[in-house]
Amino acid sequence: MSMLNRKGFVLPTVIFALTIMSVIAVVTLTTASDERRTSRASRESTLAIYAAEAGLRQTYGAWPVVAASALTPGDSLDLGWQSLPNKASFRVVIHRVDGGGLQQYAVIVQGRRTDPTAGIMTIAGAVGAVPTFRYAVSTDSALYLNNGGLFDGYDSQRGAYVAAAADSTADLRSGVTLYVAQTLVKGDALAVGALTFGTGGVVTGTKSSGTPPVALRDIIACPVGGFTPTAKVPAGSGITYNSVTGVLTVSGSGATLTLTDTSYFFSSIVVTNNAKLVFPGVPRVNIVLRDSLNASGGNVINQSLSPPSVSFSSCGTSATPAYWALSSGAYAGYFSVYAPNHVVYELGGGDFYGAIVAWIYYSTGGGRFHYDEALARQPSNRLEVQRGSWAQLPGS
Amino acid sequence: MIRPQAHLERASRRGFTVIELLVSMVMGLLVLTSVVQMLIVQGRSYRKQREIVDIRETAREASALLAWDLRQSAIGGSPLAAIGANSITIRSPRGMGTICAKHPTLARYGLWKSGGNIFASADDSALVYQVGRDNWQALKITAVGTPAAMGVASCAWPGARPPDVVVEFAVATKADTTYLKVGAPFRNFRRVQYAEFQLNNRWWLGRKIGVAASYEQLTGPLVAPASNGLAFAYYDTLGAVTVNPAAVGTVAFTLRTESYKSTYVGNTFAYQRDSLTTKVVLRR
Repeated sequence: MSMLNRKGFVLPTVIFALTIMSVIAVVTLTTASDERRTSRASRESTLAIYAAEAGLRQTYGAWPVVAASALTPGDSLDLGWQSLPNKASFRVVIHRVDGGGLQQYAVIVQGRRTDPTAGIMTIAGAVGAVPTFRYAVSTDSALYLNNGGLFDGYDSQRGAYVAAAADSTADLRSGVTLYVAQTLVKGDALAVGALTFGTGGVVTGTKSSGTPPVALRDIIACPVGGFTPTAKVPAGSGITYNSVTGVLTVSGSGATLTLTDTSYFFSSIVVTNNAKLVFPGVPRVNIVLRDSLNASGGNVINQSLSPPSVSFSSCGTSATPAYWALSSGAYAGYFSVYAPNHVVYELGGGDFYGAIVAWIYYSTGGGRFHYDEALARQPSNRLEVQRGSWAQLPGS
Repeated sequence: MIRPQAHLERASRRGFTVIELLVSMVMGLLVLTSVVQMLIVQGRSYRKQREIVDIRETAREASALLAWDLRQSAIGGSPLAAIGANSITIRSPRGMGTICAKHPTLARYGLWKSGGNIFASADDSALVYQVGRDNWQALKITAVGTPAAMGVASCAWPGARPPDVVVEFAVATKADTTYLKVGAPFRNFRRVQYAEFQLNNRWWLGRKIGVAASYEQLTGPLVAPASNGLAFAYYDTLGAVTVNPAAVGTVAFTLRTESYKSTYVGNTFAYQRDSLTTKVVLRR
């Protein structure tokens, strides 16, 4: 053995030490890497939720009106994966979930980051249509009830009105002041301004004044193409119609006009001297009026006895915003009125089944107003994000 | 006479001198001592790092769990059940879905379930959105069953898919179900309390369901409640401190986690500790 062979005592020690140190270094690096990956996964997961949140907000803000309105109940609309600038992406699927009628949408949004540790986070929200006829009577200004009337509710889709089993759902809402005298209201009364009671005024439900204001009702644009052509309005005794001015008059006790189409557009309708304006109600008919409806001296008859089947709607900004006068007398009225830019009078002492939206509403005839709850389930063009509907899906 | 060659061979075979041995032993001892010292330091450092990673992960997991639960606990304007400095009782989301069918006569509703599980225990309740009224209706679930067993065979949508599950509500008046329509969002909640509890002389984050006597162990260990291992602070929607459960808009909670094993902290053998504070805005 040479001298050189005996010099290597330190080398194995150093190699041993290096090996141990290498193992420790590897373990330390692995630990650090684990820590980094854990914190990264946590951060990426949070960012995935933010991506989903961004997708939900974007969907609310840029609602696909046309595509969503084309959905039938049970249908789904997949908007696909969309990228965000921060390397995140989201996928939105809109489900129409109502049973037909008032639209209801479930919005499911998945969010993800590019990092595979983040996974996919899923959140949900809901968008629903705001019922046009949420209340028995709703005004953007004053609401005035006097002279011995009754307000209650029923659901025409469940059965005919039965006084003994009537619902206390005839809610009233006024955009300014609400006055109730000599009238029994089976429902709630809400007013943005003051709620005042006169003699004999009773509201059985919640009575609220100073409620938060809501946006004014949408005023529908008038149909293009002019008023309803003469050919769609049958001629007869006591019936006059001018398709240029759009004024339809039915006058005289023997005068009866039956309109069988599904839509009409007039500037005004006058039904007077006990004349009858008749709608079969099947199919459903919508009468759009630019100026006024004056049925105080006549009868509007819906033969189907189903309020959702006949509706009167105002349109445009009338140059002559005349009042609308309804009169339920010998024949009960079964229809809805949407006239957010008109004053509506209920002058009759008979029964009215339906709901009314007006600028100002007066009920002075002492009639019986039966709110049809089925009208609240009619489709509506106004959508809103439903309060409290945000949810993060369990297990996501 | 010794031959020169033989002399050389003997010289090459001779052992280490005492001095060589002493020097090499001292050097070897020094190296070994250094290596051992290094191993000890590295070992401690590794254990410390491992425990630090562990307590941070504990804090993150607990924070994520609490935040998820708290965020949805006030949906529909329902107040927190009870608030305390070291515990909170909330309605924890369990399952969610959409009403897709109604029983013709009974208060039974078919659900298209989007997540979680829906139960009917004494601690479970539900919120159902009143379509068209912008309001959530609180209801008690009395039964959960299959579509066949509960008599709600199919959803109201075209295609008549069966509901995922059918629930029955306790109804006191007609108004309880008047506005429950097909399409209404449904949420199932369970009353739970989050607090620290002691097990094997250590403190843990626990969850107690309803009036249960014992806690379900979630994660930990945490430092003792006396040292605020789990501490809550409550703020209203304007950011002011509040003690009114109905007014709480934001909940801040601090988790002070403690390592499972002791390690050296400086020269002291003790538990590693860390803390994490999270603020959660309640969704309403």
